[in-house]
Formats: sequence, C-alpha cells, structure tokens
Amino acid sequence: MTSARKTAEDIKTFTEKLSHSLSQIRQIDDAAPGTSPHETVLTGDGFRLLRYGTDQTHDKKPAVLIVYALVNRPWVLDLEPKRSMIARLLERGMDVFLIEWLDPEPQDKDRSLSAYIALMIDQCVDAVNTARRTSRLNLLGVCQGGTLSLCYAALFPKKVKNLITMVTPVDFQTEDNVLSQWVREVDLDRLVGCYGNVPGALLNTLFVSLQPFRLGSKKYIDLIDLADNPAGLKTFARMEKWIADSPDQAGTAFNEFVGNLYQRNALIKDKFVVDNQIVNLSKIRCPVLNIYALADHLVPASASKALANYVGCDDYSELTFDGGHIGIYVSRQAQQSIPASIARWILARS
Amino acid sequence: MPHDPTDQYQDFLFELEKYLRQMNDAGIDMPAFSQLPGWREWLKVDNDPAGNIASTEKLETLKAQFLNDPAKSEAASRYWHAFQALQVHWIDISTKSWDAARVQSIETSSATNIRQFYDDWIEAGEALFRERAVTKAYADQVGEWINAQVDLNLAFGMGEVPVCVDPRDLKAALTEAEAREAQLRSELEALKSRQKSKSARATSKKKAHSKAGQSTKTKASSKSKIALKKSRPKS
Repeated sequence: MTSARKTAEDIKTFTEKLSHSLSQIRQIDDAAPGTSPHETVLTGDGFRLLRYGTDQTHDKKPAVLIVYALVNRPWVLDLEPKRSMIARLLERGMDVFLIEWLDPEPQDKDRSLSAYIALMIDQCVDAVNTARRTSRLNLLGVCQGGTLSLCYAALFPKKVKNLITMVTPVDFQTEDNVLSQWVREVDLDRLVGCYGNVPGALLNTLFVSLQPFRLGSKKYIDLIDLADNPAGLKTFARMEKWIADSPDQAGTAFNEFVGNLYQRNALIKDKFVVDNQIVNLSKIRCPVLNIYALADHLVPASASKALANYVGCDDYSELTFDGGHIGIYVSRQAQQSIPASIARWILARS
Repeated sequence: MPHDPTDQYQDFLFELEKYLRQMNDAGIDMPAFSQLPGWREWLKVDNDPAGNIASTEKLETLKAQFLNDPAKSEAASRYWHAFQALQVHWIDISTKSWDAARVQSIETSSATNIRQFYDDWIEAGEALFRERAVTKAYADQVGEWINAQVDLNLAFGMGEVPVCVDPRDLKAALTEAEAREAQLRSELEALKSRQKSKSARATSKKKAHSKAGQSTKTKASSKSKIALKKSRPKS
C-alpha cells in the first residue's frame, strides 16, 4: 500500500503537470489547419473543387478526386504537414482534387442527396476530366463521402475508373453500429421541420457521446503527456478545432440520409433512390478498394466490410487499419501506410 | 487500517472532472478547446432556445409560460422525463465505472499512481458504456430525448411543425391505391388477353395469307431462276 503522504504528493505532481499543460495550450492562438498549397478550379452552388500541389506536370499523373463527408470538414485530411493524407498522396505521384462542401444557407434546407450526388459530384467529375482531357477518374470517398461515391459510381459507372472507399458505411444496421440504433426512432420530419438545416452541434454532440469517457475527459487529461511539447499541443489544438467544427446539414439531404440509410438500410436492399433512379451497387464494375478501421466507433468495420457482398466488380480488394475512425486520417501509422497503399493500388490499375 | 490511495484518487478525479466542466461552462479563454460534454451538456444542442431548460434558472423563467400553455407544459414535461431517464443511465454507468476501477486497481495492484487509476477508470467507463449503448432501452431513450427536445423547441415556436398526416388518412389512401392497382392489373390482364386473341387471329390470317403468298412467291422465284438460267450466256 502506498502511504497517504505519497498519494498526496502523487496528486500534487499530477495537478501541477496538468496546470502546466493547460497554461501552455491557452497560449496557442493559431491552430489553423490545411497547409498543402491548392487552387480552386471550380465553384458551384454548394461546393468548391480544389486541386492540390504546384507541380506543373500533374496532368500526367493519375487523378484522384476525394469526396469527403458532409458532416465534418475535409481538412482533417490535410491537418498539418506531417499529418496530411493529401500531402502523402501528392508525394506518391497523384494529382489530388477535393470537393469542399459549402455550408448550406437557410434557403438550402430543401437541398437533396440527388443534388449532392447527381449534380455536384458529377460537375466536379466532369471538371476534373475536362481539365485533364480524360473521360474517367479515380474516386476516393471518405466516410459518408464514400457512400455518396458508391451511389455516384453506380449511377455513372462510365465516369469512374477506380473506386476507393474509406471508412464508408454500406450496411447501416449491423449489430455493433451504436449510432444507427440511437437514431432508429428519431422523428426526422419533425427534426428537420424544427431546425430547417440540422445544426452541426447536434451531430457533434452525438458523435462525442459515442465515447463519452474517452472523448469527454481522457483526451484533456492526456494533455499532461504533451507538456513542453509545443508541436504536440498544436496538433491537439488543431484536432480540437476540427472536432468542434461540424457544419450544419441541409435538412432534406439529412432526412434522406438518416431515414433511408440508418433507419431503413435502403442501400443494400436496392431501395435507395437518387435522381429518380434506384442505386444498384451491383452496377459498380470498376475495381474497388475498400479501406476500413478495425476499431472504428463511428462506422464499425462490419458496416464497411458488407460492401464485398454488393458490388458487381471482379477486382475487389480490402485494406484494414488497426485503429479508429480519426486515427485512420491522422495517426503516424496511417500516414505511413494508407496513402502509399492507395497510390500503389491506383498505379497498378492506371 | 491500511491506506487505500484509490479513495483519494477518486475524490480528486471527481473534483477535477467538475473543474473541467466548470471551465468549459464559463467559456474560459481557451480557443483550442472544444465543448466538454458534461452531465448537463450531454446531447445538448447549443443553439436552440429551449436547450438549457434543464437548468433550474431556465425552468423558473419559463414557469409562467408552462402554466398558461398546456402544449408547452406537456412538451416540457416530456423533455424533462426523457432527460431524467438518460441521466439515470448515465449516473448508473458512472457509479459502476468508479467501482470497477477500484476493483481493478485492488485486484491487480495496477494503481501505483493517480494516472494509472485514471486510465483504469476511463477503460471501465467506456466498457460499461459500450454495453449499455447498444441496448434497445438505451437507444430508444436517446431517440426519445431527441424527439422530446424537438417537440419542446416546436412548442416554443422554433421552426415549423410538419404537416401531420392522420394515420387513418394514410390507411384510406393505401386502400384506395391498392384498389386502383388491382383495377389496373385486371385491365392489364384483359388487355393482354385481348391482345393475345387478336394476335392469334392475326397469326392464323397471316399464315393463310403467307401460304397463298408463298406459293406465288415460289412460282415467281422459279420463274426468275429460270429466267436467270435463261439469261446466263452460254460458255
């Protein structure tokens, strides 16, 4: 047994270290993320298409169009130079494009998923192909953006050369999908009627509530380990900024996504309608690389793995990551393996 | 009596949690920090007018409105019950998490310092939470809490109540649609059978016509063959 005095000293040291870390993080005023150089190549109603890198020969490299989720900001893929999936893809010889979704205004509350998929993604695909004088490209869908990309690839198969999905939900009702169970009984019509565009804060709080001890407490105490590590504190601050910055969701699109997918699991039942067409995943014949995280609390691996049962392609591969939903974007381990694997897979099919 | 450090650790960590929540509530000047979800903040939507109804002060200011408006009163009551039901789960998980952490530290003697005890507590809490979160009772409660919050906001005039369709109207519309579908199907069957008999008649006519035509054609063809033969120059 430890003596009472030793315990008191232990607590005192712990408190001092935590105070020190907190005082240091208070001094961080600039935690702006997004560091890779890029230009806007197209601005449309509700989106901006960005092209990364300064290499003038990028037309000769394989193009990758990243479709990120609507529910978070895409700059987690370019958090800082050492934690940037985009920078790693550029280093591996990819010509990287990204769709940046713009926040819906109150008048955009009726914007549908069809608008996102069949209009906005399609405009971006056409813009990339026009810029590069090609007819097909590599599509990389991340999280919810992966689901949107699957729908796009099924509806416009001729425009997608290779499809990569990353931490993408496909079967929305697997037993371990906590979020899916929580929203099963939510009255979406009343929710959207009440808010119009659904507040990002509501979704953010739900996401954090999936791991209340870890995300609500532990990470702040873990700051002790970052005392006297300015770079580590800055990364922490950037991550905090990203986590807290959830955009509002266009009401109709949110209702369609949660209602049809989380509540009715329509995508794998061939009952999901986009742009007046049923999304049939078996129409995806292009090569597919499905990447998922084994400890994903938001999109369980089981939800992503289901894709293998529904796509119609012969060339289907999986890549697993031993980590969580955020770690797959920013952890050192992911930075070393995921972008390199994606680039290798694309180059082998270019 | 031997000294058990976990008593002190638990007391200290409990106070620390409170401090972190207060710091967050006070909007302390820490731009890097996001909102720390706490007991009351859990699932709270920041930008809704009735969201902080859980506070006693807010309840006091809204009391008059509740008394004079049954819809508001009912919505507030529903919200409060849903909120409390979630709180019961949360308090239960939290209490058990402290117990589990203490048992863990005593059984394995892993709590050699406060940080170790803290990590044990987090692990225990997450494990208990994961078990609870996937139960239907808990999931339903989260859904009810969100629905109740929406109802409360609607009762206070935020947004628009969607046009409520009476289930009886829906049932009548479904019956009507099914009857119409049955009628269309029977019309389709009748049309198909008419089409079938029409095409059968046409086929037999065509056959007869084709027989006649074929003999003419054969004749003509033999004629032309003959003509060709005839026209072919002699070698």
